[in-house]
Amino acid sequence: MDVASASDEALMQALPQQIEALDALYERHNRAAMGLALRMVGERETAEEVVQEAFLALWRNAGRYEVGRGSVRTWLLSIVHHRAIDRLRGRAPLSPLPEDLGPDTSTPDVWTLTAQRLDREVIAEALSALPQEQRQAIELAYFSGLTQTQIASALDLPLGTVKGRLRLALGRLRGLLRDRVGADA
Amino acid sequence: MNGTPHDPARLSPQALEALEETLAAHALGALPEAEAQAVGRHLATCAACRAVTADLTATVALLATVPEPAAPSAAIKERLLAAARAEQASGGTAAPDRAPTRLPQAEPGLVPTPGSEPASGAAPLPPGEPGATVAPLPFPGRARRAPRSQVARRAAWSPWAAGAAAAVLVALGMGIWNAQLRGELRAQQQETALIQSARQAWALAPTPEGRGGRGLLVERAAGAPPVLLLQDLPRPPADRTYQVWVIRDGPPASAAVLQPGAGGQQVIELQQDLEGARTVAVSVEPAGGSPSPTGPVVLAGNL
Repeated sequence: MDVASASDEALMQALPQQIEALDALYERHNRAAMGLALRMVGERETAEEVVQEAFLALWRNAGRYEVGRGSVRTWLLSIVHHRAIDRLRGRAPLSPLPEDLGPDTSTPDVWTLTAQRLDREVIAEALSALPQEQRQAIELAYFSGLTQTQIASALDLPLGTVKGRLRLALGRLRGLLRDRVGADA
Repeated sequence: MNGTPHDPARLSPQALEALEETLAAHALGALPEAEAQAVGRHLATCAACRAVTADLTATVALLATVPEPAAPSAAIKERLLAAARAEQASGGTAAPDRAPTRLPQAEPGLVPTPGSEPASGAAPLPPGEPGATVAPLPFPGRARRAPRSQVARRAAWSPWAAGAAAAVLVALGMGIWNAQLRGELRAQQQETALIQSARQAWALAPTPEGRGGRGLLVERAAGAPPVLLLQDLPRPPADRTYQVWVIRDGPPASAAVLQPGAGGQQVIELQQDLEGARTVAVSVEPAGGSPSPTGPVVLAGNL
């Protein structure tokens, strides 16, 4: 197989046997993985551990990857996120992998598929277009790994307010990006 | 949230909103562990909530790409590929869905036992490492404590450098664990995490008083408690339990108490670090554990 021209999906299928495929996937996605890990844990050494763990998990669980359910990159980054949260919450990195690693026969909807093709800049732009309090709530939850209770406590807000903000933030983000997908289409 | 599927059409607007809040927090990973697990169980039964969650998860996944990309150091790739190669060499790379339904027996010789050399099929030790053997622990059976001169007898196991530890661990021990635990996803995740975070590893061998079994003690990255992997431990009587001890210069310190009657395969996080430890041992104690070892020591390894 020519790893340079192979798709991510083809590389995933070659993974358990071919180290070169892991090498190629690493070359393609290590910077995004490191960017996320670093943003979350804030410290290079730990971020690098997270990246290494995530790629090894990708390699070992490649047989569970289903073409068509989502991009390899999305899957990888969800593992990075999960492992970084383990670090942030002081858990041993033994918690189950993200649920979307699990068997799921559901067909992804149009949004799931189109959303994966959005550019980083477009997403960052949409995030910054959220009302400040919604953006803050979503960033504390997603990037800082705080639970909704911890966010409420950190911001000195009632728990119900935080729950509401998280729901509204995700809904609004989706709306902004869906419009963008629609505009591009 | 329970196991009953929702019919969104029959929920009040308030109830629907509360449900969406829970699912949004879940998609963001912002629920406390117990609640997240409850939601996970509910999702298994409720198609309506699964559909909402899929949509939310797709949105949340976009956040992962927002941070500025950054380059890890070159050593990370080398370590990753070395770990993957070592695992591949140990035959433990089958993906879960390709795992055999019948578990293979452990190959003898992969974990060194007293007087044995690593089997020829095992991956070689890094150059310069001493041949690995584990001496039975001269730990007191029923006595309070052995004289220092005995306890201090060091086995030939040397700590490995952090970089090589993962690969060697795989070659020596994890292949067995992998083979025997294969198919159990959680165990596999544990292995992955362990391999990744392993700094050093030592084998625990059965003592003359033991009835078989073995252990692999793994020291992990700073801040993560050491983990003891136990295999093939005979089940103790229901009123007895295995207890793990870390022995430094003072009296043995309890590091973990297993469930009464629990044997077989166990993965245990130790409640003691290995700072200054000379020996780690497993003894049989009354259910609930004992303040100091009273029963026979069945497994031991010197650090």
